Order: sequence, then structure tokens, then C-alpha cells
Amino acid sequence: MFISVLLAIVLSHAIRPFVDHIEGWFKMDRGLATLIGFGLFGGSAVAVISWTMPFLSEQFQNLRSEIPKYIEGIIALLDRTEDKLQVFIPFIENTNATSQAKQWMISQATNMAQSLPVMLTNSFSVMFLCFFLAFFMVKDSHSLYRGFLSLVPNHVFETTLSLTHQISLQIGQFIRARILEAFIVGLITGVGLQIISFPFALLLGLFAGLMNLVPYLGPVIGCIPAVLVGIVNGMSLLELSIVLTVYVVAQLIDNIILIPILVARMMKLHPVTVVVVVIAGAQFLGILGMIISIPVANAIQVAYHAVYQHIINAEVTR
Amino acid sequence: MIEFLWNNFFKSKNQSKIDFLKKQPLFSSLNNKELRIVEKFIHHRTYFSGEVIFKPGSSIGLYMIMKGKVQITYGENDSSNTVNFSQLGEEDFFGELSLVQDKGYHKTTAKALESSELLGFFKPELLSLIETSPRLSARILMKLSSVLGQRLQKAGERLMELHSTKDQS
Repeated sequence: MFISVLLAIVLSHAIRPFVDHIEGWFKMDRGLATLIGFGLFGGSAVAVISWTMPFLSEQFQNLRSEIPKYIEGIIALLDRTEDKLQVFIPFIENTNATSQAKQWMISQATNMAQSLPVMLTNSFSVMFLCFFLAFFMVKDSHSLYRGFLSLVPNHVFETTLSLTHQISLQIGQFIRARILEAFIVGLITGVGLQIISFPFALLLGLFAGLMNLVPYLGPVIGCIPAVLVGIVNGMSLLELSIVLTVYVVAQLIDNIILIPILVARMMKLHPVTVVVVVIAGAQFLGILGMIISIPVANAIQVAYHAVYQHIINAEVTR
Repeated sequence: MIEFLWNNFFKSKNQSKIDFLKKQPLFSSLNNKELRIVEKFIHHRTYFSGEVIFKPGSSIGLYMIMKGKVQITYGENDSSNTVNFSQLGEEDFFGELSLVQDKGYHKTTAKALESSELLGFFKPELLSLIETSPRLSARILMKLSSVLGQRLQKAGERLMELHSTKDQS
């Protein structure tokens, strides 16, 4: 439910400007404009999904059949590293890290296989609820907002109005910029990996795009699966560095072109804040928490900044 | 009788607001469809007698009086050097300069003299209206400019009057 509401807020912010413009251009009823907006969005989403689904499901199938191989490969890798470590640092006791890791990974893999159907039905209901909520958030945004403002007492009414307006404007810009940024980075990574015919290119691109929502840590986490896949497949250092180059190029494009254009005015979080917030998010909601914690923290920061600016301006003009 | 029923069915409670807006100089060039869009951005506020509507430097928009009376004074309310500007009644409007000015420039205070109902139209919402419905907003802004121009002209004439009386004395 909580996730649905959050996703609905994100979705409604992404679609609202579009609906506003449809309403303004064609001077049509807001309900109809919202319906058209969501219809177009849903239609294009379905088109994109049905276009990429064959590739994605093929890669999923491959991944599922090859998971044992990767687990074996990673365990062999761990074995080797442990051996080497013991050569270099002899006082490390035989910690049995390998067998522990093996057990953990096998249990995780079986868990994932078992919980996948449940997860799918869950995510379906989450998506449905999210669409439902977002639809009404967009359709009734004016009346909801006006209803809220009508409860505000007269002496703080104008302040509240200008403040909420600023906050929603900035949060909207922020959400749209981040979605577009993640999409482009994912696309570049996926296409790049496809070009060098790396396995699971689309899946890895999707993962990199999602992870890109987490600053500082995201890009690093995003490329770990690709490196693991590369090592297990016995790639040479040259091949691995080509794979990493794809990620680096995506990050360069992101940092040099996308961020200055899309998120230039966005405030940056301190690296320590990022780490703390990500850990807190992971504690509450797991991997999803990691992804959404940063945008939520950023939204809070934007809101705080708007309030602060407002107070400062009020002091100056007094 | 049929006319009466017809009116009751199809005249929503918003209709009275729309009829009111139509009589306002700023919105007089809009048709019903456009007024219905503008109506979504209008806030209905009620004030009790003696309540301050805005203080110097704090207003961000235009108010239109649906019911009641409002007094505009120059300077901080209730301080010694206030000057009574004017008393406004039903269908009058005030604060239109705040729609285009940066926040904090105006020096007037508005106070409800009796329990009043006002419709407010504010700068942030004018800005979003400009984004989404530029044609409609251009017509509102045109009317706004003509209102401001008239005020400027009146002020100029008044200045000349004062100047000439000063010369005579």
C-alpha cells in the first residue's frame, strides 16, 4: 500500500503536466483529459513492454537456466580469492567463507525461484492500485489542493499557497528529471552491452537504470552484476574493461550532458547523507527501499529548502 | 416552472461563481468554457468583521469582493501613520498589482469591515495558467494591463491636479 502510494505520487507527477496541457490546449473536461493522458501513457507503456518482452523473457529464461552455473562460478571465484588471501595474509584462519557463501546463495536462489510468482501477483496488485490512485491524483489535483487550502486559516493562507506551489513545482521537476535520467542511462547501458553482444544486456541495462536513481553508490552497484557475469564466463581483462567502458561511457554522458541539462538546479545530497539514507531505506523496505530512499530524501530536502527560502525572503522584505 | 427546474438542474453552485467572474473586468473577455477553467484556480475565502486580509508585503494576488465591505489603508494596520485609501464594496476588486509585481513591494493593508466573502486569484496560479492555457491567460493579462494603465492615468491626472493647486496657493 505504502509502495503503491509512493509510486502513484511519482506517476502522477510524471503525467500531470501532460494532462494540464491537454486540458489547456483543447479546453476539454479534466476527467477526459486525464483519461487521454493515462491512455496514451498506458498505451505507450504496453507497446514498449510488448516490444521488449520477447527479449526480456528470453534473457530471463537464460538467466534461470544459467543461475547454477553462475553460483558455481562465483563460489569458485571466492575459493580462489580465499586461497590467495591466505597466501598473502597467512594469519587469517580458515573462515569457511566459501561454504557459508554457497549456502547463502543457494538459499537466496531457491527463495527467489519460489517467491517469484507471489512477487509477480503482488507487483500486479501494487501496479493496479498505483494506477488507480495516480489517476485520481491527477484528475482531482485542483479540487484536492483547493480542498486542502480551504482548511487553512486566513492569516497563513497566502503563505501556504505560495509555499505549497513552490514545493510541488520543484518536486515535480525533480521527479521528471530523475525518471528521464534513469531511463536514458539504462538505455545507453543496455544498447552498449547489446552492441558488444554481452549476455543479459537488456536486464543489466534495466538494473543499471534503476540503480542510477541512487547517487554515488548506484553506478557502482549497477555494474557489479555485469562484472560477475564477465568473470564467470571467463572473460579476459581486455574484454572486462570493454564492458566497464560501456558503464563508464553511460556515466560520463549522464554526468557531463544529462545532469547539467536535466537536474542542474537540483540540490545535491552529501555523500554521508546518501549512505545513511540508503542504509535506512534498506532497513525499512529492502532493495526497493534503497532505490526510493534517495528520491524521498531529496524531496524532503527540496521542501525544506523551499520553506527556508520563503522564510528568508519574508525576512528580507519586511 | 420548467425554466425554474431547468435552472436548478443545470446551474451548479459553481455557476454563481462563474456568473460573478464574468462581471469582473479581468475576466470579462472570457467565454463560459474558459471561465470554468479559470474557476478551478479561484479560491473562495470568508473573513469575519475586522479580520485583516493582507498586511504590507505579504499579498500575492487579486481579491474580488462577492459579499461585504473591505477597507484599504496605506501602511501598517492600526499604527499612527496610516492613511485610509478607500472603502470597497460588492463586485470591487483589489490587489491586482500583486499579480505582476515581485512579492513584498506593496505597502497597503486590507481589512474586512464586515463579514465578507472574497474570491482570490493568486500569482502562482496565474503562472501555471500561463503555462497550460496561454491564449486564455493572454486575454486576462491584456485586461489586467488595461486596468493598471487606467490606474496610472488616474494617478497622473491627480498629480497634475495637486501640482496646479500648489501653484495657485
